[in-house]
Amino acid sequence: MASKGNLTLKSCNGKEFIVEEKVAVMSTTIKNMVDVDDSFAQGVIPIIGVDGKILAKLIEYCKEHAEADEDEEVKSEEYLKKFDEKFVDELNLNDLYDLLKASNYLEITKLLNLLCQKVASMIKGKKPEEIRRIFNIKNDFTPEEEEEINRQNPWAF
Amino acid sequence: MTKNFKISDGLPLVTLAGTGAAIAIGIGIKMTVTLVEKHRKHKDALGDKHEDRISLLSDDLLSDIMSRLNVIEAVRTRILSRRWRNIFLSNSRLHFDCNMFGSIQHNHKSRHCCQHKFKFIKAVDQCLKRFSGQSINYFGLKCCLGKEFAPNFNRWMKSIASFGVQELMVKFCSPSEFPFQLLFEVASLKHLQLASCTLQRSFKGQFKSLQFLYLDAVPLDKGEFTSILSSCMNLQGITVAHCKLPQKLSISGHCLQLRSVLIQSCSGVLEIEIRHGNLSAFCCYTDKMMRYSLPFAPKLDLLCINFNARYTLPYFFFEVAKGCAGLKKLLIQTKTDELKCTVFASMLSNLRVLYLLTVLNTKADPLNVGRILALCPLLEHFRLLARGRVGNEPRAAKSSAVAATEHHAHLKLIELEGFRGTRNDIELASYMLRSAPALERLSLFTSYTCFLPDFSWTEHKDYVMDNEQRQLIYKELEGQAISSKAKVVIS
Repeated sequence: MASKGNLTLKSCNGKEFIVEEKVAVMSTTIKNMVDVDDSFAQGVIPIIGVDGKILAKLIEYCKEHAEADEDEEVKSEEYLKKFDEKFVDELNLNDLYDLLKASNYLEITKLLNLLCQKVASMIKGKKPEEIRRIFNIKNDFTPEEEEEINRQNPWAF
Repeated sequence: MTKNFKISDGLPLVTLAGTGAAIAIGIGIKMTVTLVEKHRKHKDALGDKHEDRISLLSDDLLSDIMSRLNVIEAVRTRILSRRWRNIFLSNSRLHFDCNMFGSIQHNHKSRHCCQHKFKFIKAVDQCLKRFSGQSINYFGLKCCLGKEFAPNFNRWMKSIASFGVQELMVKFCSPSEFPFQLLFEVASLKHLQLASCTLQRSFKGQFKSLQFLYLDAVPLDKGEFTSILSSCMNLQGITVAHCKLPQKLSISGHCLQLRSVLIQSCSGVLEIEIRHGNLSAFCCYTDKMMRYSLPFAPKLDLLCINFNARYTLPYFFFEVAKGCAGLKKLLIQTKTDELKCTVFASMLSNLRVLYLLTVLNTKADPLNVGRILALCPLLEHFRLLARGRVGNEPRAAKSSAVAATEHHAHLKLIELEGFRGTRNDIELASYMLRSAPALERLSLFTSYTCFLPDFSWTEHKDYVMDNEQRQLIYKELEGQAISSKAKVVIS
């Protein structure tokens, strides 16, 4: 049972995290749950489809940002930028996908933007072949289909 | 969240941070260099499993990612696999930049450049064709097409109506005339951002849909400004940056919805007149002196000005303040030489927040701020930066303001910036504590912030205070506060 001002979040594999409410409500989804139903604020909030490892990452991110929102003097924009950079830089592809899905589901807009930007930057300036290799995308086009796309957008290739 | 005065608080301002993906893309490009490099280091970790999980992400997420790429990069993803073929088409933001075909800015007249232009035109044409029947929220064009391509350009402008474009950004590399009037028919268009172009001096008809207009490097000194205000009857916010303006700029006219006007580093203008019944926010940044006349500005509640000349503060509190008695938030940044302000100045009887950021000469007495505060009886939040003032030397003449301490009854938050713990600093802090009976917090910042021409902030740290000095100051200020709730924080 969490003390006042704290919420308990439970991952899909049963790990429980006690976090400050201001950290948890960085997620619009959680905020809405708590706002609508008071019992969530007392009990345990199940975070469906998010495992303990990813939930811990999410909390790590939200904690930094919630504290910065509260007191700009302690955590400057510059500090946050560095934190963000390091945060995405240390992710492997699987974590990146899991976090993308989780932050989308939990509506943590800032993090979602950061992660989408990260994926975009991995695509930028690369040839299709390279992009496929990085993300393990299988080319399932027939040569004719490929030809057609090339024909539709000759200026892009 | 109290550290900085946000001029956008609750106001329909045209944000300078840009309305378009242009900025997102610009940042994206900057990031790429470092990320690509770092990516290499992590390649092993990234390529662990041979699963294609990115293609399993939802359309929404992939389309969000796509919106952060330029059009060419986004279109190229169509070739990745069947899954990716139509993601690009679900994008509702389109941004074209002629630089996406390689940098062509250096040589506009070469044949190479012309080839690029044709390629660019073809790209835009084909893209628009592929998107026909769909809606596009944002459409951005950054290009250096010359006059000879005006028909193409005009055709695009006409066609955006069919996509329901709400936000349009056009930036020319070299000044060309922008067919403003063509957009009057685009009923969906709410935000318009134009850079480096010229406008006609007058327009026929009304631009009813437009709510926010942002002009950068657009000459407005031949009556264009007045024409815009009288044609765009539903305009809520206008920002003009780096534009040439007439000597006397008058903000008046039929646009009754107009709430905010931002003027940023514009040339030619010496005087600004506000005669507008609904305007609530006005910001102007100039390095020179500016005359303000506000014969009619009853709803003005936010004013941010940066101007420089001798006696700017007395000028403001004697002359300008008369016209804006309803002000709630005021920011003045100036390199003045005096803080003087006498009892004959105009009252700002509704003011709640005051930021006074000054560079004073050595003779100025910062304790004179007491007189300014006395003009603002309801003030709750006061920030003062008085840079470049005299250190530990005694002031030339003690002002009478010190002796007869005024009571600033509503002040809850006081922030003194650039605090170094000199005699004068401590005396000022002590004065504040002794004169604010409702004070909750006195923040003493060793750093200081400046207001920039683009209305953002920059923080300067040029002084570090050691712990010992800090403790001494705490001790010295102890017991001075007349408010029981007052907390002193040095940071």
